[in-house]
Amino acid sequence: MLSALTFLPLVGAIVIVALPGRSVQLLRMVALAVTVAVAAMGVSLFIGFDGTRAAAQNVLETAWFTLPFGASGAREVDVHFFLGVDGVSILLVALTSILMPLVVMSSIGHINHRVKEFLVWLLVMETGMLGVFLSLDVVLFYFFWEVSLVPLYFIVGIWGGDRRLYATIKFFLYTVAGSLVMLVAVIGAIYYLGTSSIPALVESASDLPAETQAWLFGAFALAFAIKVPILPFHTWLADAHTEAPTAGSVLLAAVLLKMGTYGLLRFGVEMFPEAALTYAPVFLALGAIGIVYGAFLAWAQTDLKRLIACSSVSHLGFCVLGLFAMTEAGLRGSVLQMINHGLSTGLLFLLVGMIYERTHTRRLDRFGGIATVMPVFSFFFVFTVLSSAGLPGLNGFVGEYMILAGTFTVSPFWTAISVSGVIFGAVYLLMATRRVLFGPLVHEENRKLLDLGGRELATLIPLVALCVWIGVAPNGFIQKTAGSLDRISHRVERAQEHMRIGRLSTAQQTVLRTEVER
Amino acid sequence: MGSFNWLWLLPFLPLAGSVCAATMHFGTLRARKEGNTGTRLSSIAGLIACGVMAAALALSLYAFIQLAGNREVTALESSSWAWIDAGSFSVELSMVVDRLSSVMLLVITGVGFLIHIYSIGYMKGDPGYAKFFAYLNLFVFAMLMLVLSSSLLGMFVGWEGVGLCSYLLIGFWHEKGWPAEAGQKAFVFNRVGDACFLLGSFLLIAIFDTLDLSDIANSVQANIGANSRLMALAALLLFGGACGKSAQFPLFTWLPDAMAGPTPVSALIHAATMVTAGVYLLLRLNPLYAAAPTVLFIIGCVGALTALIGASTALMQRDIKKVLAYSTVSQLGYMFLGIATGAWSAALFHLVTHAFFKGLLFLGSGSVIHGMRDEQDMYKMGGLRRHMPRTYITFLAGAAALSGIPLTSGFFSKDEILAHTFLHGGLYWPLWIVGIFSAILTAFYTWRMVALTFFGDERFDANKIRPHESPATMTLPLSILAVLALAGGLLNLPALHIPGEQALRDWISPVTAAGDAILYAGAQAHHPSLWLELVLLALGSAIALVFAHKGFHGFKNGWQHDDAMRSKRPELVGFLEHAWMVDSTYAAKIVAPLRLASYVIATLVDQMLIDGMVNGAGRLAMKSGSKLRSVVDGSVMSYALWMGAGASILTVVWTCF
Repeated sequence: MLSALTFLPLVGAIVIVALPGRSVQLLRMVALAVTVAVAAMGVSLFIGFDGTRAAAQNVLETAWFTLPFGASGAREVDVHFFLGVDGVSILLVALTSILMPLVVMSSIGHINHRVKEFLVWLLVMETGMLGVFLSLDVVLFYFFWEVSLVPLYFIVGIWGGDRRLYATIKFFLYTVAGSLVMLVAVIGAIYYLGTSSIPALVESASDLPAETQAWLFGAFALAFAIKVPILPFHTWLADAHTEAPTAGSVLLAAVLLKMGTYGLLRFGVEMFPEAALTYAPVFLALGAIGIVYGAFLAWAQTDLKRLIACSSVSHLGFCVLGLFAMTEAGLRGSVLQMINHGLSTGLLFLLVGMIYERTHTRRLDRFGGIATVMPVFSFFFVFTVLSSAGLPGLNGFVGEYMILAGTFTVSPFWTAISVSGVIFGAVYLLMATRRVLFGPLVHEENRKLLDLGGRELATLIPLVALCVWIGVAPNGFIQKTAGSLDRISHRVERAQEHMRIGRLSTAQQTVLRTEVER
Repeated sequence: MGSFNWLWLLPFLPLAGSVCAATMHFGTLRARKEGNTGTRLSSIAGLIACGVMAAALALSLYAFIQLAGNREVTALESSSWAWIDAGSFSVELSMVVDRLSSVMLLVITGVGFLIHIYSIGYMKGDPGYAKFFAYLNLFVFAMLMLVLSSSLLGMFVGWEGVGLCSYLLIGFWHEKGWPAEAGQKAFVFNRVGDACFLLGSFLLIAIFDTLDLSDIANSVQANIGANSRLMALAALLLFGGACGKSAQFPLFTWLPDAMAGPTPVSALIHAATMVTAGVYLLLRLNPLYAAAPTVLFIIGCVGALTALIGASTALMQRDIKKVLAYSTVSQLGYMFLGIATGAWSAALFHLVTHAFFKGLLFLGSGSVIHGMRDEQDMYKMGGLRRHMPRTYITFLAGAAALSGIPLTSGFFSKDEILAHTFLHGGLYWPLWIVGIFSAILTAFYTWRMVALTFFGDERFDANKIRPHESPATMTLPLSILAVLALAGGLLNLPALHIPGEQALRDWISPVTAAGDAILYAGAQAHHPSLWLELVLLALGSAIALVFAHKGFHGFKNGWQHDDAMRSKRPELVGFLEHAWMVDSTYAAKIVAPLRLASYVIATLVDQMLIDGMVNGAGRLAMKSGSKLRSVVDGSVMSYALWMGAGASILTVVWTCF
């Protein structure tokens, strides 16, 4: 099941390569059929997933190859082709699979040259992204990580905007830097622990000396922080987002950034809870500052797409905050917020793409009064802005609230700073809404704009429905993650206990240990 | 308990109505595109919206009868919906009607129904007719969620929901430009309050481990001592939320701007219901506030100050809706003053009577604006009583109640609040004086408004504007509200040591018992002696009559008095006209620095500092890689290819080992 899910897009890509490039319609139909099939599998995986269990499900494990090193130098490490899905990854897998057909559909509007290549890269990227979330072997994870990135260089570099070269190089340099750091961490983890299986690493990582844990955590955290991105590694994001074609922006925001937060959870909080606890104050601060900083950044933008890109910095601050609050509510909220951000920012980028296809501008001062000519578009835009601004009853609120409530018990101060982000979020989002949709129709050329068509509605409606669904009945989603996340929070509690004991004198420690043994 | 599932219908019927009306709206747009007018679809939307409101009103009455019929039952509760399970806490939602919410229900659905009917006439011919009703029904949904939710977080759904509808409806005529800005301002100001609300809710979770409102109210007593400070902080933060929603100092400046919306909206949202949500929140959590006397005093100061700012600003306004808006700000201040003195029922009483008379006055002003072809400047009105007799008569009833003319509803409710403030004594003395002074101003500006609008010469161009009476759909709601505004005092006549009961106070006593128990801790509540009560009532009557007379006579022949004031005390008048300069202070001291900060962050910090370092590092990398560049052609694709190739080679190498 999981290998079919992961590699079906790759098969689709190969099929498209084999097809003639001229029949664009056929190519699109094939891509759409493949992604719809994958989405169906993703949804059925989600439905069948048992959220009460902590361990990975639908596991697939076969020997792959052997690495010739280990802590003693002579030990060999068997690398496995090891896939599985657990509560940390299930929502992201489902989101990725559901988004892809919509992205393919949206690309019909704006990708008109080199369609074949585009679809190939898109499908390769899907394999990479699903692989990242499903890998339970760290080498395999690294492999898929790279696979998911390469297509994006091309997508931005070939089909991007005017400054696409600069954006691509910047994105490339950042990701290469991140990947190298991660490679070091991966090799280090395998070297010290003698295994590349992620569950085994998680189990044994706490046996390592505290300093080793700290630097491995640091290396992983740095690599993923670039990807999320956490302040101050965020400047690639606005450029890449702005220059990417709609399909690229959507995937970048909805899925690729989540690889960063996913990694932070999997390889930071879950694998090295003690180190994560030690450095949590740093991440809480960066998360909270990121929320406010991102909002200020967005407020100053004059380009609608760049504004939304900057808003991602703010929204992902919430995810980081929840992860490093390391409480039950914080973790659950953070994982749910990864999905929520994917939905609402994905929707925003889709909508910006739609208006860009009509006006060929993204500058705020070229709009105004669009609501008069495009009422349906305006409805969706306002809806999405509200979801993004965390209106209760829609998806964003549930995640934000859990994150903030979960962080409050740990750090009221950073929670208060983050809550101010709720205000600034409304400021820049409503400012953008007003300047695009409301007011008099100043630019005559906008008077003839056509409202959304059937294909565009079909891309938007599934996501809008999900926004409402998660907002009204989030428990169905939260419960899928509960088993695995609760295990992580128990690990965190144990680590806290362990650290507390570690700070006591030796005499006190022996007393405690004998008590525990009794 | 738990079996009254039909209570879910109360909020969700209006939601369904809203969805229907929205569908009609898009249907109308489509019809218009095809060349039809689509008016029939639109008018169906209006009928659906009103029908839904009638049903909601019937359900509210039914709920009220159930409660009133059996005094043993203190609350009806529906089954609950497990909304959020966050592990360490969870949120369960059910719909609860108790004594307090039943009063709110009747106000919302009753006044709401009348305003829906009124809107059929008022919005007739507007291209967004169906959309208007969709928003209006959506608002009622949110307001009912706010009032009925068993959980603070469910209340917050309504809380932000009404804010959203307010935003949408203020900006209803966004093509004009400024309504869109006013809507945005309202939303952002509300969000400032909401941020406080959120923080308060986190504190409540930390203290009580739950967000269930009745659980919180019941466990305050047990937490006094150990958690007093935290509870006081939570109470203060939630009051911050109330300041945003209920337009209290310093967050009141959005409400006058909100007058950009259609007038029925001003009546329903910005006078009768939404802006009282803050009062409702505090009443709902009365034990929490009873346990925090310092917070209560802060609330009293804010309330009294707001009452004064509002009333004094209303003195010099030319726009009839602005007068009413500042008046609303001021009257809400009285409600908070009432809460500050622990006079829960007095605050609720004033909330109810205010819904009647201010709703009436707004609708009356709407009728005037309608008849005057969208003229809102009172300097350009005058003599309208001859053209709009029904509007005039009903407007008089509203004005009488607002200014506290004896025996009208506002007379009793405002007086009760002031009496309690007086009795509280001590630090509340200055607040009482402020309250009395504001009452003087209120009587004055109210009758100034009446005189300028309905008396004196006709100051409009009679050739262009022919004022006319509004249709029955508009005057009928006016008449009903006029009766309520006059007779509403019957709800809670002063006790005056007459054996018997004070209806409203006794009705909500099960809800306020916990708060009273903490407030008086065994001691008796202050009860005024008969003669003191009579003296206070007499004082209130005298103030109202004298200053109503002054206001009326000063302006029944035009606005010369304003001009005299302007030339005599220009600074004072400017200060008052601009609501004590609060808004311009915001613009200069808060908004401008924040805006500057955002530009500094975006350009200096982000682009030059952080990105500068990145680009520098990038150039360095490029330079050191210049040899490689001759191998590959420097394009991104090659880099990417090398990346992919490298990864594959690595894999292959590893496999070979």
